[in-house]
Amino acid sequence: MAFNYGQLKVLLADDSRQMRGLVRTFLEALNIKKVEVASDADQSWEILKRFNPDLIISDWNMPPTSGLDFVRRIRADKNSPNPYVPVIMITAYTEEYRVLEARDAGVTEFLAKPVTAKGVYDRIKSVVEDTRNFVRTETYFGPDRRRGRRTYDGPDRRKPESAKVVK
Amino acid sequence: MLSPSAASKPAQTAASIRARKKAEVIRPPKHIRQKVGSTGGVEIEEALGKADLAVIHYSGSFIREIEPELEKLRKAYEAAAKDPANIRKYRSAMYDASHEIRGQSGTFGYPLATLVADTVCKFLDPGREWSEEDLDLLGLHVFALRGVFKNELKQEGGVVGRELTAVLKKLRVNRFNVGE
Repeated sequence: MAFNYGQLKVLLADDSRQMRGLVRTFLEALNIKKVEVASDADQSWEILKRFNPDLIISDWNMPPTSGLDFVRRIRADKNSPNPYVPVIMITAYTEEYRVLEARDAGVTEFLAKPVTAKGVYDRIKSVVEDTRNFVRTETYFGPDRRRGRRTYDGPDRRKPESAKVVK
Repeated sequence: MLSPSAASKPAQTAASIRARKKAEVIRPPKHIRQKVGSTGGVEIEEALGKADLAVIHYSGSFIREIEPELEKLRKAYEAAAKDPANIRKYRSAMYDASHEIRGQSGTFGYPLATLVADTVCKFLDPGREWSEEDLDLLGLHVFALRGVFKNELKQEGGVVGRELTAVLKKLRVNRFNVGE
């Protein structure tokens, strides 16, 4: 079954004009027409407040600040319009420590470069099907970072039925 | 003495134990799924096929768009070559430009440039020790990147591209223990 993404509002942030144009074309092919674009983190923040997107697709490197700083602000700033908004981070970084850094900033999904139409589609589908809760600790707020199969057989405090619903 | 199994476990610091105890699990008030319909979606295979054609359109102007990053890399490399004792001063500029080139080139039809630029990034990774011998090899990579774009070596880049790829892969295995 193909989902209908036509009602989604997407904020696309990338400092490369070429990349913004290409990804926007990919989104339009999926019938996602409500797209606003930004070239840096500050502009993205302004659009976030005004546009209230359902999904953010952001590049990691957007001088002068980074996409990671933007994600941290979305998750932690008390004035954030939606700290739960899913974020797909586009990156060419392959080093494990960088991926962990992004995960710890609260990124929902990664889209590795080179970017393809199928890659964009797969990540959006994954975000839509993602049922993870959010977790708040003293040092982290964001999607539950534990998503793989685990062998732990004790009580699971992060099952949906034990989750608190935020009004 | 710790048993082998206990020794292999990560140390549980007081901070990590405290953080776990205070973990609050929250179900987000709304989910993106609520805005996505179950019917009326586009035919995915057809849509993706059409979307991929857009790459051809954008790749036509890609060399012009990536030129500033190539120039940044060249200038930073030349400055480093003249002043190798202070390589740290130029390292981040070279890394940032190479990172942009590796990220975008594969997307717009130049995977060979991505391979060359990725090798440059591996040389310049902040966690890696530096040697002056690296500078000579870096110079060859900067030269190779110019060649890839000047000769428009798209995809595998023909005979020249395949030879370059073979050399780079060997270098990557020897220097960085990186395979395919």
